[in-house]
Amino acid sequence: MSNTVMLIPMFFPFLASTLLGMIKFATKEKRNIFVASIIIANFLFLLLIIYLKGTIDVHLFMVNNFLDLYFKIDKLGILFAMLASTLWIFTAFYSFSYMTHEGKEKRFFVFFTFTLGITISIAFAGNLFTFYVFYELLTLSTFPLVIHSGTREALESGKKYLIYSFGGATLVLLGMILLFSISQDMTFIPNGVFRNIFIDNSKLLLSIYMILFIGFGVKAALVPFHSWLPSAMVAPTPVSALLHAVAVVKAGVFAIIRVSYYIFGSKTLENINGNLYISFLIIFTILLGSLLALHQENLKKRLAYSTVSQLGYILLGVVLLNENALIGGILHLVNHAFIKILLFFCAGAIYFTTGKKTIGEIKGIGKKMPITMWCFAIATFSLIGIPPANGFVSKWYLAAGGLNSNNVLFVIILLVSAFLTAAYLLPIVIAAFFQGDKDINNTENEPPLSMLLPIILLTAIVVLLGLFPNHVLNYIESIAKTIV
Amino acid sequence: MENVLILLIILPFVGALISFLIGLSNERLRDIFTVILTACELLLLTLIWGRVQSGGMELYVPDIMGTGLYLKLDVFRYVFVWITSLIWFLTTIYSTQYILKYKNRNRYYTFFILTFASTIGIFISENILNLFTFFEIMSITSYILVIHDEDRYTHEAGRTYIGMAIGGGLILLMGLFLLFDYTATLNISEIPDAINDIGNIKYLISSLMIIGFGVKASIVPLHIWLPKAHPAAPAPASAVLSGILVKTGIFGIIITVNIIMNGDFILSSIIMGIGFVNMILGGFLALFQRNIKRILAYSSMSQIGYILLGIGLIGLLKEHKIIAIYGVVMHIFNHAIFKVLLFLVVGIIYMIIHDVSINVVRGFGKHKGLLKAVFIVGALAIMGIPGTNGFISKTILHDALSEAHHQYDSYWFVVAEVLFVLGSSLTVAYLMKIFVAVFVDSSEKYIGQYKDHIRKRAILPMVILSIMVFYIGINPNLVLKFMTGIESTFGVTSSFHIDFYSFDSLKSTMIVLVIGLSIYFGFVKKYLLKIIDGKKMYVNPSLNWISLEKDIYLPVLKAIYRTSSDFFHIIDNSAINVIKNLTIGIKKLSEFDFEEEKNKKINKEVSVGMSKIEGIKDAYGNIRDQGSEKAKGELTNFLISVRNKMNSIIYSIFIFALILVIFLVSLVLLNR
Repeated sequence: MSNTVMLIPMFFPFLASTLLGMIKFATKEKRNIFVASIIIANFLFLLLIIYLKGTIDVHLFMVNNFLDLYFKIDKLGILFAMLASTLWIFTAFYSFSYMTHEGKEKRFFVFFTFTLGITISIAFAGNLFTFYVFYELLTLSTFPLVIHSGTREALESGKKYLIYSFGGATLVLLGMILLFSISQDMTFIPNGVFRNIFIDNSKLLLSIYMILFIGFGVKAALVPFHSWLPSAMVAPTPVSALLHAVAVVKAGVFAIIRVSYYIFGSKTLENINGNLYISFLIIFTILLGSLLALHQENLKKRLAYSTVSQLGYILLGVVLLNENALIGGILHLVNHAFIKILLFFCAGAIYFTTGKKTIGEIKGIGKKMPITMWCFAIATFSLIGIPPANGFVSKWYLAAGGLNSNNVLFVIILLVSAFLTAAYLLPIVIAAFFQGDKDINNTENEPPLSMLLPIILLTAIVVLLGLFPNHVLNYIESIAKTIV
Repeated sequence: MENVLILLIILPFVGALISFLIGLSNERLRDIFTVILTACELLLLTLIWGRVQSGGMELYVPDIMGTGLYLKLDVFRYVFVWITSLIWFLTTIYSTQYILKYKNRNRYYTFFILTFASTIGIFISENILNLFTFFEIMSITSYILVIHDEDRYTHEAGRTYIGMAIGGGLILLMGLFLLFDYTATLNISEIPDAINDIGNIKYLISSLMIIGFGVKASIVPLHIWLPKAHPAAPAPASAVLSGILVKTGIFGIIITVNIIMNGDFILSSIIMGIGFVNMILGGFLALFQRNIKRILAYSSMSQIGYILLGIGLIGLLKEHKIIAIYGVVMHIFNHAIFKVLLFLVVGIIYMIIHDVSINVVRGFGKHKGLLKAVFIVGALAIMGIPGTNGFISKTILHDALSEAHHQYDSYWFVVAEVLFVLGSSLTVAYLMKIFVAVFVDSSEKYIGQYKDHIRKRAILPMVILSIMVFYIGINPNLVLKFMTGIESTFGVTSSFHIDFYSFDSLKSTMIVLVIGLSIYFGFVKKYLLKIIDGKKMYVNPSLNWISLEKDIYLPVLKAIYRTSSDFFHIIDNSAINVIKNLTIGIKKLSEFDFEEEKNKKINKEVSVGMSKIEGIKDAYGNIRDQGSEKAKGELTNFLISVRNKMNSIIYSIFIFALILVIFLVSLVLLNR
């Protein structure tokens, strides 16, 4: 079997989205069916190549050691690609209904499919250069999604998004060049490329790590480079949901995992104390996100700040450099993706059916949209980390990791942040169910089925991942064992 | 047979959902269903009594929540589970009457049963992580019971309740994190051996756990939710809140102090001290309250003090601890019975006049014989009058205290005995306050019997509880037999014997009564009963006293919240602000010297703008090449163009990132 088969799930969406742009569809339904079949077909392709396994790596285009488009499938990549493809299916169905009131649906779906291809390419990128190329493309392909509405505010936010992303990417480029000058190798190898190279200039190495971390940290909403994320909330809800859940911010986190464990390696990082300085920024990220979320009246903005703090958890798990913490970090990457996309879907459903955006307006909405708000409530409990929802499991491992590295402070911060999470999310649930005028005619007004069904299924996943985390957990453990 | 354990949890969990579905179409059927459901649970438990007595049961279900579900039912846990089921069965019957006039009945029943299920789960979990899970579920489901009325007061009370529950839960979780990190086990019976080897960190772990459980058990100073939540909830909900849910916290404290820490001396002494504070403070504050439910809430706090005292004594008595064990479990059992009884009585009053303020309902019960009778039964029991179950458990606890006095022979125990008597006397005084005001004073307003308001099914639970009060009071050995075997959980096998109706215990009861009555007549009647507008009204001077919540907790929290918010707001906008200030600075600089020397050509260049950093370098080159006269103009131009570029945030972020990188790198260099 030719190795190039593995390229299908990456490049099929590119092809399909071009087709989607060219074909004129008679009805919306036909277009929707087309989009759905692309996304689902791509998911099946992905399953297929994972099933076929074998030694799968491809040098697509190689000029020299630096300019080398190289793809390789490994367990971490599979995890990320599966996560993205799964959530893309949910989002596609959700968008079919949601985007009807945003307009310009065709443009949306073209870029929507295109971004899927890029995300999967990021997952399977085999070296830092390939990663960087698709990382830049990700910014470009999501930009039209962010400015979808075309209003002044949207354009402003889009500009901010571009500036921050490119600023970060510039740093990455700088770091990459410096890195290549030392190692002559940027392939992602478990435990890093520095295994056989003796490095005497640890300060330079540390500087490179910092530059790369901050460069990728911009997309991972590392404080103080996070402010594009709340601004980008002007995008349509499915876009914000994807941006937050997997596509963009998680690409940043994924990049940091790749750089930390597959370029530098945990041993090297320990030697150069790479995690020490970064952890200050991460602590700020966690606390700032959850504290400022309390100040937001706009529901989506509150969720955006919440993402900032949750990303801090994941980064924390990554930089603590021990097995439990890394398991917790990667598990939280998965869990947070499901929880946050669910929260956004619910917020979007509220906006779609009632046009309400702020927390003050949604009092009593739980009586009109009981199913949606129940799902929102369950996601809330999960994000706070109340067992038996899935957020608890990842927090347990993160805390265990923090204690393994003798950092009680981190654990305390985790718990303080969990309390703040309760403080900014629970009032929404309480207001939705138990406040507001009691005399209003409580006719139920749930969103259409193609929006409601993804919400319900995601809720089921959130609960099931909490009750039976072992399959995912064992898989992540097997990843963590090879790289820590 | 072991599967019965999982059935005990699943039955109410699934039952709650089924009752919700039934309730959507037929409320009457739902009421019957919930009563049958709780009856089944009680019946099931009663049937397995023999099996539990002969060795207990264990069940392990792997894969759930990563660690697996590990359940265990020994006699100690069985007593808790059984009394929980009994109380739930009775309050469900009562609810079918009480909730009739409320809204959202379906929600009430669903969460009432869900709370039941999670409470059972707490008591039979052997894995402490499972226990924590059920504990959190219980906190959330009971919140919905507390705020059932959905008005302003209940929401405020609910906020305190849920805030403290979640905060307490997180502190408990912190303790569990540390516990697992140091001992690497989560099974309660394995922890005591493991924890001995970890040094003094075990005190930190156990304190965190006690604080976490203590919030639910309302130990001072974590009690502030209790007097707010009880009056807010519907009567059957406050009944289980006080009778059972508070006991889940107590259960956790027993697990922590007496099992995990194996009755550590220091910890036991502290718990005993807290117990006395609870006992006296709760009783004292109860004297002042005017809302009957709040009096009962503070009374619960005071009774929790007795239980905490017993928990402390278990640790202090070492090999003689069996007597204290029975005292504690017995008092938990009995308190559940008489406190629920009292709450149900108050619920009846509320059903009829929709108020429980002592000034409003004065004289309500003067002519209502049955209500008066059951109230008297409850009151006598809680005062510890001979013949009631309260007398039995208080006597055992008192015996345990004397035993400790013998063993340690310290003058502190003289103080302890005095406080014990004082606590009981306060109980007498605040119950006299309710009794005289509601059932003795006469009032023209309430002459009718209101019999059509109340059906038999609301009375039945109170009658059953009253009978139990006397039955246990007269046949204490029967209950002791029921509980035989609880001591094995604590690792002791000895036995004990008490003469309940001895001269000494009767004498001390008389002393308590005399002091209590004198407090009532000398203080409550004299100082708290004032004549306002020609009417006798109770006043509550304690409202003006310093309040833990309003004067300490909230201001401190607010101050922390404000300062940290301000700080983070600065960071939030730092990237943009730094650049803004930078551009303003450059603007000022450019206007300062070279303003006049602008010329058209330059202006044109500015408007075109330079988009690459190389452009800036070129500008530098130009400046150097040209003469000094021209350079002035070029410099201005350059500065203006730089400023223009600054305005687009592209460079701002870039520069800020560079600054940060430089900062971090220099930090690194300095460190070496």
